[in-house]
Amino acid sequence: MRILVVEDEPDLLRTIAKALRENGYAVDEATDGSEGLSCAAISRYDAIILDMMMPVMDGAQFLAKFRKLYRTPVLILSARDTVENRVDGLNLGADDYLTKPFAMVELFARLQALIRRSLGTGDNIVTIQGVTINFGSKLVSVGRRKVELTAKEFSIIELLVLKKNRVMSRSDIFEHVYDVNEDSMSNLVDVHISNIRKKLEVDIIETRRGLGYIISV
Amino acid sequence: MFKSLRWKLQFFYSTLLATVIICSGSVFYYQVWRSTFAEVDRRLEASALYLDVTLRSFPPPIQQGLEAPPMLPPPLRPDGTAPPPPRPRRSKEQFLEELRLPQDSNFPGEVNPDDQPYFLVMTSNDMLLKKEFVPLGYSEAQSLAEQFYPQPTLTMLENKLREVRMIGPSGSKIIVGKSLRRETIQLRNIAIQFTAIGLAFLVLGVGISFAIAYRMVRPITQMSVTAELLSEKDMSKRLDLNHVDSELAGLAEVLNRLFSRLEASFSRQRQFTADASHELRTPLTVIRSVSELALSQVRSPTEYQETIEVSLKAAERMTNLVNGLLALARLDSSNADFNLQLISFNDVVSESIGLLGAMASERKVGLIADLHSVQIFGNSESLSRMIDNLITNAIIYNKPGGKVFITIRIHDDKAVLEIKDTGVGIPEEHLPFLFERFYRVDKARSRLSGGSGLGLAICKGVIEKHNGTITVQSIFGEGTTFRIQLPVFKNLD
Repeated sequence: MRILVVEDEPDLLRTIAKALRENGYAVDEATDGSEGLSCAAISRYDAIILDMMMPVMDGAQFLAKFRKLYRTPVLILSARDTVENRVDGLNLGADDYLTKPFAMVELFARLQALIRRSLGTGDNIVTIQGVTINFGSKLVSVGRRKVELTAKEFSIIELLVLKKNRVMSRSDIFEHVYDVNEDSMSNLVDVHISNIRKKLEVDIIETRRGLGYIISV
Repeated sequence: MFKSLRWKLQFFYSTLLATVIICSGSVFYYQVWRSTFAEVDRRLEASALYLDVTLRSFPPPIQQGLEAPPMLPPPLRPDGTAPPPPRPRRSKEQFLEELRLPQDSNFPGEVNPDDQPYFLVMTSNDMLLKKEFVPLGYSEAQSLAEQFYPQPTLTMLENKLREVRMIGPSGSKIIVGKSLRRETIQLRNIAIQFTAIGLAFLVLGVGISFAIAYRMVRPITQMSVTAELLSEKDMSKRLDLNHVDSELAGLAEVLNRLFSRLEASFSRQRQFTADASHELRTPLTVIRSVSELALSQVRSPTEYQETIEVSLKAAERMTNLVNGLLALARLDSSNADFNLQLISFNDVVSESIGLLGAMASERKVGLIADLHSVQIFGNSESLSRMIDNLITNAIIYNKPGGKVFITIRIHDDKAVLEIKDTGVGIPEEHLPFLFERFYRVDKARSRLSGGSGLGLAICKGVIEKHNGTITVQSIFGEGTTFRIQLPVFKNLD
């Protein structure tokens, strides 16, 4: 999953981005609203984490412009904690509101919930052909056997499950799993897929030649 | 109830109205009463004189030595018709005979139903010669008789009878009287009518005064209702000036201005709280997030070191902020802990310049000082912190190779400190808000340089505690000048 973090406090931005990456998200960073808008114009994101008080273009201005173009879920992360602030934020088009200081796990849980909802899957645990995927705990098991997947591998299978019955091209997958800092390596995705297949021992991922990969139910 | 303006107004109106009604009623009643009796008296007098003149028209003349009155022309009746032709002359005896009364009559005690005037004629030894009811009138007789005889005396008998007594010819007595029963009844009816009308007016007046008092007080009530609607949450309501009388419009305007000031003050307070909370939460969030991240898995020593460095930086930022907030709170509180002493202002400034010289040369900024020596009453600690702050700003926001000019001169009994830099300058639209708390010209940059956003607000507070002023001039791209004016200490000895 690819996330855009818009936050003007550099230390916090770096920390959130690092924590997200360690959890298998691809993360792009922007330090104000206008930078965020340019990022949004280049890449497609699964969710956006947005600070409200920023120089140049603040969160409200960003949302006003962003919402005219995209439907990507937006989570506001703000130090303003009054009811009015939250209501204003949600009315501007945000999908969730979290006040600073926050617990990382809560941020991840809310982010996960936002992505799940935007893709139309309500359930946190999905079982396909005997393979159980838990989006919350990021655990995969086949029958009773736990499968150890790396963060990248999990995010690939997560993407394919969430967008099941749809063919995802290599570049689709790449875009969702790697952020702008990564150089495009055409066979990186293939390497991950073959690793997943080996670890699962059940081949739920079909290859569509010349198109990409799909998990069909 | 008697605390209420409305009831007071009502009470005064009613009392005033009652007084006016009672007074005017009394005066009017008295006039009616007087004219009624005057009319009766006039008629009685006229009748008496007529009688007298008639008696005197018999020879011989009544008083020796006086000429007999000339023959009267026949007086006209009140209705203008000619009087009946004079009766043939009779002797005095004949006339007296005509006047003789039956002795058994209890006249004048009896009152005839029509309250007709009566007359009695008596001889000098009180023998009753004649009694009769007479018609009223004949003022002509009165005017004629006045030429010969003294004023008749009027007598009032217990308000029931009115009589005129006079000395007639040959010492006889003439009494003309009238019962006052009808007049009394008339007057009583008039009094009752007056009372009824007065009461009606009073009730009407009280009703009107009730309405007037209500109308007068209503705007005040409305004002208080509006004022009560204002609260910390919603200060937007104002008094309606269009429907208020001019006297109250002034008050309403004053109140509206007060409300506006209150609203501005509340909103400043809210803004300040929001800003302070934001500024405190941000470093707190950083500390919490980096710590959580560091603890989420085993890290390398370099990563832990980074985490601690970031936390320390955030903690320093919080310390700065808390110190700034405390300084502001102290400036806001009172003069009690603000100790002013006689100090040498130029020494304070040159000390700051000395301390910041290293920082300036590191950034390749030249500090050029020209300090006139001057003594002021001040708190050297807070002044030097403030000057440090201003000079640091002048160095940080300067261009490499730029200069900071620091001068003190004396102008109009004021020590004028100018700190002028050749730096980046401040866009004009920011200047009015520069001394406001948490106002940042370039939010990202000042935060990176560790500013709390309170520095200039504290400067202003300090200067105001010293009864001075601080102003700023800036040309974007060319530089900024801060000018501080402080009262010079004058030795009065």
